[in-house]
Amino acid sequence: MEAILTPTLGNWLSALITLMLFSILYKENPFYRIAEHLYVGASAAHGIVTTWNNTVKPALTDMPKYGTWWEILPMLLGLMIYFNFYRPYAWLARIPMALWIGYNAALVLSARQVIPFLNQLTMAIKPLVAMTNGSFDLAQSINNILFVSIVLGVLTYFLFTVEHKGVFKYAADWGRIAIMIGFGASFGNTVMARISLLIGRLDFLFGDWLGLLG
Amino acid sequence: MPWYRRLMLIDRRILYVVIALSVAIPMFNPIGLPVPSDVIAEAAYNYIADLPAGSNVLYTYDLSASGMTELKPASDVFIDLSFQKGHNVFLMALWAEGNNFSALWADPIAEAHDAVYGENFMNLGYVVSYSAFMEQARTDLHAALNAGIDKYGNRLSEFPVMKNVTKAKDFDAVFSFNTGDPGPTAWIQQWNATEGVPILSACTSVSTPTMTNYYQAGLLKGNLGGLAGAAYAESLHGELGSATGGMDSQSLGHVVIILFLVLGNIGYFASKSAEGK
Repeated sequence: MEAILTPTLGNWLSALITLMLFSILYKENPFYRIAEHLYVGASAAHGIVTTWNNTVKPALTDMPKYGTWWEILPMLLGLMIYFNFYRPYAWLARIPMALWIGYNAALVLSARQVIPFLNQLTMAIKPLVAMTNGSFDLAQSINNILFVSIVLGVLTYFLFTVEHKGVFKYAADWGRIAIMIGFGASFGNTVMARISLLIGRLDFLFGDWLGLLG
Repeated sequence: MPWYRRLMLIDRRILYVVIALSVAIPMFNPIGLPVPSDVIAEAAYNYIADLPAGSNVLYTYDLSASGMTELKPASDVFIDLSFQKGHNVFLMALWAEGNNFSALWADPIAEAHDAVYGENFMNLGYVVSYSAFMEQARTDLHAALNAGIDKYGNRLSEFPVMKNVTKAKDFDAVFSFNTGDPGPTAWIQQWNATEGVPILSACTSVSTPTMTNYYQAGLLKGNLGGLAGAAYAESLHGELGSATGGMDSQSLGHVVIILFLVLGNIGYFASKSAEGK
């Protein structure tokens, strides 16, 4: 592939496929469909090649080189999954699955999984009157009051065993506003990520392909 | 058709063209908008910059190709910073695709600093089962890394830089360039929670709110959020690169989106008000 896919040809292919994919922004058309199918096929092929090069090939070449023959064991366990396709011995596929599920269940149940959550919980307890170098820090105090009140508001919003009336209603409404602002921040960051992708593509089209950027 | 209806029915293709132009024009004519300061990105930069020479810093490429635009500038800054400071730079990947990028992005910088492979930088390769790796590496890093083999099929024990790095705790910092999970959350749960290894991150914009939570809870020492975080790191490093260049496009793109949001809302409220009459 490397022999025929010179940088120029590669750039041309990438550029044409990019433009074909962008054409959906105008309207549905056969060029977009072709590019879409190419993308799906290329992604699947890329996934297989990446897995082969990074996982299977190194294991196969390193095993005889360094005598790490014990690696055959996990490989055999992995291959046993394929007994799923042969009904008389399909039960053998349960062995690697049982090992994998057991291992992951044990990992998820370990205490370290909740440590980040506990840390965040601890950090949510802040002094409402903040002192910096022995003197009252107004800005930090306002920040802490906002932080703590938002935590309490959001928790109240998700409190379903108490009817949201009186003080609970105000707290839940406050929490709802905070959640909306949080969603807004997430949306803004998502827009930023998508524009970054567009910048990457345009940079490629104008720079690498057309050579218009300095 | 009343004006407010027309505002609500702007052809989406007009929006696409305007957004494409707003992103493309600054590429040809940079505006030079200021990059806003970012406390969390600064914390990340200062943390790595303050590590003494000889510190072992693990840079892990937990990413796919979609994160190239946002994460390559971050990788460029921090790998360069570590070589400048005389750190031992270790590369690895929790994502198979990241394994390709670790060498592609970091090797040219290592070459520019005349770094010698095995003496002051190493590529530890890709680990298939990250949770098993992290667990085993707490006590035996070499065995956990593909049975003691580096990215290029060499024995880790043959390299002098690996002599003093035999377990997780031997790393002075782990810096994850990430587009999702496994990424910083896994490093925090496995190495920070149990071994106290400091974790830092450069993430895509989508993950920034989560990473900000981690930073505020003291679980991350710092984070670069998307292109903006990378651009600020570039300004701290004194070498303006592709992230800074992209920020003009980013800012103008956002202005256009906000403008259309405002126009759409004006149309919506005006139509509601007209219907009320």
